[in-house]
Amino acid sequence: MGENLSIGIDRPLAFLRGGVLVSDVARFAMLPAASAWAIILALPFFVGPIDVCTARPIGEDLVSRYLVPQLLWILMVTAMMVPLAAPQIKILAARSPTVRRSRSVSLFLFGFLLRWICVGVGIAAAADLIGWPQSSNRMSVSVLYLAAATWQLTEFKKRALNRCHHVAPARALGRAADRDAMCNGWLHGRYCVSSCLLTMLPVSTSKLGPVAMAAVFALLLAERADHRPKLGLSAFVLFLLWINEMA
Amino acid sequence: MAARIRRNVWKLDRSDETLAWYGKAVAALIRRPIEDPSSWRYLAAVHGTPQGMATPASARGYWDQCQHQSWFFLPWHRGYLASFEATIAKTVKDLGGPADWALPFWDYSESLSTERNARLLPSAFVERTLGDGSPNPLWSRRARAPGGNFELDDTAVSTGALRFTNFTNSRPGVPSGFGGPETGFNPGGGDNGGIESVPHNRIHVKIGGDSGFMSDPSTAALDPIFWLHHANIDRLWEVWRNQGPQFQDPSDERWLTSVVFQMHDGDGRPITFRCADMLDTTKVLHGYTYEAVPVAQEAELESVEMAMAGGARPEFGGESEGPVVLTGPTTKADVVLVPPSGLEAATAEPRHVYLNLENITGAGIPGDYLVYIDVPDDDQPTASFIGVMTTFGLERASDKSLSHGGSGLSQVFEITELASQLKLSEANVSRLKVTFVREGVAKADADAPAELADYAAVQRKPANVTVGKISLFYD
Ligand SMILES: [Cu+2]
Repeated sequence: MGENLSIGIDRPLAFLRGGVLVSDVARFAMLPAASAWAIILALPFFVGPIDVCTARPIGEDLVSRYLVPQLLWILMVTAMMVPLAAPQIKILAARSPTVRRSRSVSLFLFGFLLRWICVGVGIAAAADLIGWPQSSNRMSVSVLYLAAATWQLTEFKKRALNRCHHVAPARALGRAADRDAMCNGWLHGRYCVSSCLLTMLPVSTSKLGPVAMAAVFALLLAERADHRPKLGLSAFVLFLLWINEMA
Repeated sequence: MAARIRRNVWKLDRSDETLAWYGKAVAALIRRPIEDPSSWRYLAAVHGTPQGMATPASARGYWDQCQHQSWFFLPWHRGYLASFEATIAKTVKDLGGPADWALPFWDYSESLSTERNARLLPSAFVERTLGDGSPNPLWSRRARAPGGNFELDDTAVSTGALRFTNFTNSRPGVPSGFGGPETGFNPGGGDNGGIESVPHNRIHVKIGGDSGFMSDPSTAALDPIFWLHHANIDRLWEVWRNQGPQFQDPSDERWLTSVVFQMHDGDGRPITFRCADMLDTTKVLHGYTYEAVPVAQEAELESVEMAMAGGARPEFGGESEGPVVLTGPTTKADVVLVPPSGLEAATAEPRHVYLNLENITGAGIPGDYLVYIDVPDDDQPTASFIGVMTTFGLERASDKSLSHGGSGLSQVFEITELASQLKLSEANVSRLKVTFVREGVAKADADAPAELADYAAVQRKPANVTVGKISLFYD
């Protein structure tokens, strides 16, 4: 079989079949995400113990207060969110002329990540503003986990999740194609942020680090891929993670 | 019990009571409460529910399940029909009727030379009342059509889809084969398989008109003719498979076993099935066969090669300069072609050329559009018909809050022959002129069977359609 073009809801295994290693999804979504995961996992070996999953300030000087957390946030978003955009990336790539496939998909990813970067900056500013504790304490962790678990159970979540399956039309040639690719990435970023942000926040303060990241990533991937998303189950898993954090 | 035999509705004997018993069962089911899995409204809700209709907790996972624009379209509807047939058959038996009741099919595509009534709605469905003055349970809210004549023309009843040799397709920009594109569960958006587009979608909207039940997936199964229409589509799947050994169902596990559907049997007990369970009709639930399906043919390889699955990725060849809003009776749009590069020009002509209509979104029931491409003929360009853009399911496919995210419908036409006529691969042709001709929808009756009045009261949005983009692909 050739490439899979599923408009609608992809199943997780579909990503891994059909010679996917050389396909667009592997190149444009899985490769950046895998690189981000590798960096995140390798980081402690190079810089010592570090709270990898965070957008919060981790020190007083400018670099550790603003720059480092934002870089870590981008890594985390690339690792967890880019694979979720695989269906959109796949369709954009398939509908682009061969000669400008990389260009269009890169612009899409730029728009997509830009949305998440803005959100990361916003979070940092908000945390500063309300004096959110720098080192996570039981209280702050609890608030974020329980908010995430509750969010998973709401009707808003379901609607937000549905929107994540939207594929907007895009021009394929010239400036219009550049603009559409970037705008569609930015737009998809919006859908993705509204569906996933609250679930990402507890991870960004978790002391479980990459373990929490992997767990939440699995939940988010499953809810995108499942034809009947088990949001109750994912709320329960978040609850278990919270218990673990408290232990 | 031997497998039930589904018969051609226009070929039933005058003395045959299949439809009379069907009517009695419909009348019984329609009175049952909606929470009852063997009620008329529950069974229709399995296909779809109108916006705003709450799903009771007990029906979660059972309602609103129909599979459209998907390779699950045929197998899901096969299970759905069997579940329905079992329920009606049990009711018929309980009412004192025959034990082997089977759903008839309406073969509107039969040649008029062998069945001159083929394109007319079977007469038992036409009148509002029966001979004794009581309401006819088989009548429903449909387009106004005196004598059951819905003006089904060749473009509505064509079985050209049988010529696809592939069931599905996973390559973008290429038609989705006979059965529909590879998708996950419940996509409701994207492009239709050949058989789903014509005659399936066409018949739905022709019968339903601007506000009849059949025009909208969320109410379609409320009309008793829905089931005879789908029995025919299901029968055409058998016809397709029996054309020869190259007509094969998918062998991919993602189709065969990975998705589980759930419904109820004739006794109201939950059942589950997968596509793999739907391949032998004699083993589907109680088992059934079709009268007059040609038996499996040995290889008869002739001009059936159409867009085989697999193969190279088609290359982009051109696009419209923005979305095309279809207003008025005809809309014209240009597709700007990519100038052929030296390399492409040096290679042979493309083997296949496909015109794609992407992200078709809108609301209401706009009806179908006939699509043409201008062919220069001396000075006077003539329009060459390339196919029908069907819009059944448009509003749901455009709804961002539903599970597919509102990307709309899409449609692919193979235009290889026309492309070589137009010499598209030559550098001096830079544009393709596409024309959409609105077919319009017939006005439907204002009322509905008394028990279904709620469904008829739903306000329809004014119709509108936009084609997000027209593009050209070739391989
Ligand atoms: Cu249908």
